[in-house]
Amino acid sequence: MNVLKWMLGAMADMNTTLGEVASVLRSKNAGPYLLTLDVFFDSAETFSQVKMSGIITDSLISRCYGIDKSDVINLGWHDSARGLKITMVRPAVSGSPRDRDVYGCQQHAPLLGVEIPTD
Amino acid sequence: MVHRASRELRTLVPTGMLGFGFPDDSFEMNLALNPHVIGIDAGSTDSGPHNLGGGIVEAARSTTFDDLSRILTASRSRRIPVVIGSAGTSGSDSGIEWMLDIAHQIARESGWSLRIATVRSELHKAYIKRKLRAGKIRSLGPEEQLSVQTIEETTHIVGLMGVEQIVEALDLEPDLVIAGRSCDAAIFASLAIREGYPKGLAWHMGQILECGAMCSEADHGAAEPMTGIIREDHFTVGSPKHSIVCSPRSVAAQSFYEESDPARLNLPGGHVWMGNSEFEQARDGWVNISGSEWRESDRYEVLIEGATQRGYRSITIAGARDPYFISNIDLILDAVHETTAQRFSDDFDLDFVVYGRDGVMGHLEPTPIPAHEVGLLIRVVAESQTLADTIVAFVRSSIDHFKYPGIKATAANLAYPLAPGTLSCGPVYEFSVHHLMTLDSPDECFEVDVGSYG
Repeated sequence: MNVLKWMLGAMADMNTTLGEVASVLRSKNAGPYLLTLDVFFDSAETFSQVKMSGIITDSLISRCYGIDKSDVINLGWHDSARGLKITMVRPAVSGSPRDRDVYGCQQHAPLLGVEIPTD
Repeated sequence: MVHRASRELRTLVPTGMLGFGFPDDSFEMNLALNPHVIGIDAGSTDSGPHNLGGGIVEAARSTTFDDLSRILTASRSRRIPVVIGSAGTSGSDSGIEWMLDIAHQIARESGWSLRIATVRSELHKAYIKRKLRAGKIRSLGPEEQLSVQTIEETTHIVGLMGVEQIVEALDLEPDLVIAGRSCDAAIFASLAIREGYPKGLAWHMGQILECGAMCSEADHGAAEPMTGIIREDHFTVGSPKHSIVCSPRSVAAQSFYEESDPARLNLPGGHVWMGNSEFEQARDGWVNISGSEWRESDRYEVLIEGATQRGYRSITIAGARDPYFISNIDLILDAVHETTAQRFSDDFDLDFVVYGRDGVMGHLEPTPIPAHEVGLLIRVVAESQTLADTIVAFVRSSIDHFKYPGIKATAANLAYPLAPGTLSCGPVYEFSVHHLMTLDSPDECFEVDVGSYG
């Protein structure tokens, strides 16, 4: 079994995941109250393929993270950076007694396993 | 006379954060471009509310001293100003005093006289309450509307200055500006805006430079010097060091970092619209940026930040390897939570973080399946350190000796990697203010002062 594939959560080895096609996939605080996810692609083709697939939507983010759609406050595609930006409300304010990730930099994992159709 | 269209202003950023350090060779190479100003960020809210709430400086004094000594040695011989923003991590008055003390020591030991301008950003509670009553404070979104009670409970409140306040300090012709809490980009945009360069370009340049070489390809991290050169119709960023290569994509990507919307940078008095910005490859690893627009707002709004103490924390860290224990972990933790609540009538917050299952993401975790072993972090916040310690000790022994269905290991349930196992963590803080406040004029609450040190 491909352990990385398994950890990425892909259903089967033949499917491509967002984690594999992205060159950067990260999460970080955008101020103490928001969490922001950045996804960058090396080629304009991959960027456009993922963008045009229509897979990545507010609903997908809401499902991946188990949050209300209204808590996804921004989802934008930026051609010049070949990047996708998703911003959501943090589940706990950074550094508050029950927060688990002060810098918010390990909250990207659910996006890694999103399957991207290859044709 | 310099022809207006051909003039340029060069800003050197030695490192993304004062105290991070920076290599000598690339600092020298960037200095060889003859900068007009050196800017450096010294703070953030990123490491948590304790910096502001407790007046705790994140950077070490020794590394801050070293960085600032090297910067001032370079700036004095070139007779150019240095701008430090968000001094002492939080930009509170104690942060400014801390930075001033370091600068003073450098001046004394080097036999210099330094002219230092300070811009204070810590705000009095009475003033904030007046602004609240006048309807000049609004919520940004997820956080609640500010209340008088919250203001009273908050330990320190600072306002994030824009460029106007740093320009006022630069007008005093200091060797060094020590600014309190600042918008990161303002540190690098101020001199350019003072010299009449377009605000949209100057702010955008500041936003790209604020993390040092993070805007380069292969991300060299924040601890590498960079230079920004602004002209009338564009700016250029890069470094003369050959291994630091900026591309249109790497620079555009920097606009994403820690921002909620990469096309729009909200600032005091307006915003920069970067939706029409163009990024073009220039000579050897430098990038030209144009088209960034300053859009003035009808209000001058500044972000205000505050943090407050919420008691004291105590923790323990333990591991479990027994499959019968792991498969019953929620039942055990819920039961112990209940017993603890019955045992202690005081107000306290107890929570369990189960590493190996959902420790990092909590309820955002899509696959909360435990591994063959799990790590358990037990966190308690209570009104005194003694009470927090006592509760952790009670919770530890309750879990250790909990008899769950099917138990075989009757000695104890947890493996402790540390002795003593209960750790007193001291005061714990929480962000309590993160709101926008409208000022009647940019200098309304920021106090500019100048003096000679050494």
